[in-house]
Amino acid sequence: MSYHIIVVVREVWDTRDLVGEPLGLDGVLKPLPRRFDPEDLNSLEQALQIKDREGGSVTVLSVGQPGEVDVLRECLYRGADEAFRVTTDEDLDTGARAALLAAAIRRIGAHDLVLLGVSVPEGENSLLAGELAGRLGHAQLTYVDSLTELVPGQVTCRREIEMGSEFVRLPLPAVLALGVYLLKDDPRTPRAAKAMLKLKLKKAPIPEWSAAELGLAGEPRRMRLAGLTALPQRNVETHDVDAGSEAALAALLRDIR
Amino acid sequence: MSDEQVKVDVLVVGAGPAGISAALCLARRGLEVVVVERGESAGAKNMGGLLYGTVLNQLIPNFHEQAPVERAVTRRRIVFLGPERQLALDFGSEAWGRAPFNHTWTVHRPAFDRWFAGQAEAAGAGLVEGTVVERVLLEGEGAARRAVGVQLRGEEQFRADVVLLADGAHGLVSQAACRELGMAGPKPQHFALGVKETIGLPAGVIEDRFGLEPGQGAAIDFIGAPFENLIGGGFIYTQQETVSLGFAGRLESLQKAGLEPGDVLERFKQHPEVRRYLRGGELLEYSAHMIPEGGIDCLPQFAGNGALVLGDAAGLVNMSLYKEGTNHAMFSGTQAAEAVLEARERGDFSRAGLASYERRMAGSAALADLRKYRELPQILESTPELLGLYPDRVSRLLVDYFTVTEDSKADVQKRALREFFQGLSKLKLVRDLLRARKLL
Repeated sequence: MSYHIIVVVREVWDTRDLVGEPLGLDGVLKPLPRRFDPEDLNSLEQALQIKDREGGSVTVLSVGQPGEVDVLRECLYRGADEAFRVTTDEDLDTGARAALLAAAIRRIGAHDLVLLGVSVPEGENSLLAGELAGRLGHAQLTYVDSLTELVPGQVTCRREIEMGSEFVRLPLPAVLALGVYLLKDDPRTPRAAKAMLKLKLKKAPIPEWSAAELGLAGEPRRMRLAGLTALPQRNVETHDVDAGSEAALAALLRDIR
Repeated sequence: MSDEQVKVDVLVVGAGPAGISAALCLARRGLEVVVVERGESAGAKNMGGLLYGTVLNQLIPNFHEQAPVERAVTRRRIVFLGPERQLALDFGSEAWGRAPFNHTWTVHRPAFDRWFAGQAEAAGAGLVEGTVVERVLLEGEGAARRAVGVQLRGEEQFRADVVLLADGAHGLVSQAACRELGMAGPKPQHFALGVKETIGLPAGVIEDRFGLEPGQGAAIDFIGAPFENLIGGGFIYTQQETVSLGFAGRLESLQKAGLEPGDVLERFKQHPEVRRYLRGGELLEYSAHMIPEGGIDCLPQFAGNGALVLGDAAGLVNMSLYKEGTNHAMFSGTQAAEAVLEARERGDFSRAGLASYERRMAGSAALADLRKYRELPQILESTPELLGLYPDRVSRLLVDYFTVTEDSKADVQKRALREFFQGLSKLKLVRDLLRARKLL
């Protein structure tokens, strides 16, 4: 049985090596170097392993032009079959990004799984998977450590939670947000790029879709504040206690109880 | 090139100036050439510095109009440093500020190398970055043993008629291949450690401090006190909005003197003559690099069966005051390309078939320079005074000469000369100065 898997990949700030003065001479925050989001890379590896084992295809999808790392091309170098880029020059919030991705995923067509990293260090929080699943009408699961069983129409995932693991079965298609804790010599460690694929695919065109082409022109790109409601002020009574008086302290303890 | 195996005409190990020059020439002549670079991008493993551009200007006329060069060097200084004194020789020419700019540029190598590699790619060469070559693949035994490709980290192999070894100073791939193909040099290579910091300063401040017109640059060499007991010296180069400063010191001398490179660099930065150039600057990056400085006597055999060795990997560095390396590297790249083309015409990629590379190099100005400075490593080693005591005394002489006192000028001058010759054997001084002539 073969599976069609879509992996959402992102280029994120590299926060591993935060040393030195964060502000430049001009007082502006210095830009951080960027890298392939490691959790997205783990997701790609899971997808490629399923393809190696079961057959099928891996399609990768990203929003925005590459900065320092062309994550889509890096996926092709590792064996992804197809890559698509959604172009935008706006600074999107999670909802708007999920809307673009969901439209692009519908455009890509039939699929069994959508995989992505659970969180990225870029203010995008961990909500993208949920937003995406809601828009696609798919089942979704976060903090997926591994896919323990994949059969037609159904996937079982191991989910790392406090005090142990949880096994969750979902119908396909599903959106899975992976939070893989790689161990030493972990078989889930992302594979390296292949030199021959680098040679062949360095200049290969990557199809691009704009928001308009995805039928989303004119939609709000950022969440708008609808309104604010003030919470009622809480009254706090204070009273002094003589710290030298045992009776007063005993009374205080009684009051607190 | 099939789907299963990569087989091309020429493989180049390393996307530095030597490898890219060769790839550019070969791609222009229609050969299928692939460059494999271990850095995430060409130049990622390199530092900034001086670029002498005569060879590059032939490869890409008026390259400075499109290449990311930083400044044309119009002003040079050689500075002798005492503990808190200096004597400088400052020279330059307006003509150096006009084309061809004395062919001397400061460059930020990561940006420059990326551009240069892009030129080779545009000409049709393949560039595979972020990929490590583990070793050269060999076939045959004894004198017939030949290079047939490279083993990449992982399982992949690339094959080719010729492998150009341009993996830089202390390149492990070329060193192993030279051993196995019988190309090793008569003497082991000596290395200097180059250590550098890049300091950010506004362009206008750089121009004011170094006395430069906008867009023009300075290159300063330092000899003396901060580098006590080291065979080596310091440098400052000005880029557009950064200043590079650092030193290069022979590894053995660092080890023998028990010096930490970081401490030497700090001492250099704290010297008053250096400190004032850097005031208010921001440390942006630091880096270190090996420099082959053994000279002509440590060169390997340039050609072997199916392999040529180029640039720093071949030890093509002139470590005199000219400190010329990139230009020689590019030259070796162009000559290797010509030799490959000739070998291809004859269908003979053995050492004999590739021997025109050795002949071309032997007759070149690059090797003539290395021959001229043949004795440099040995002179510097046997005469430590040239880099220590003498610069100190020279820097003291004029300071003492112009020190204002109530004494008569005759007394002041007599004292200055006495201080200068204090403890020096005149015979040794004359002999050392005669030897020092060979360094110029």
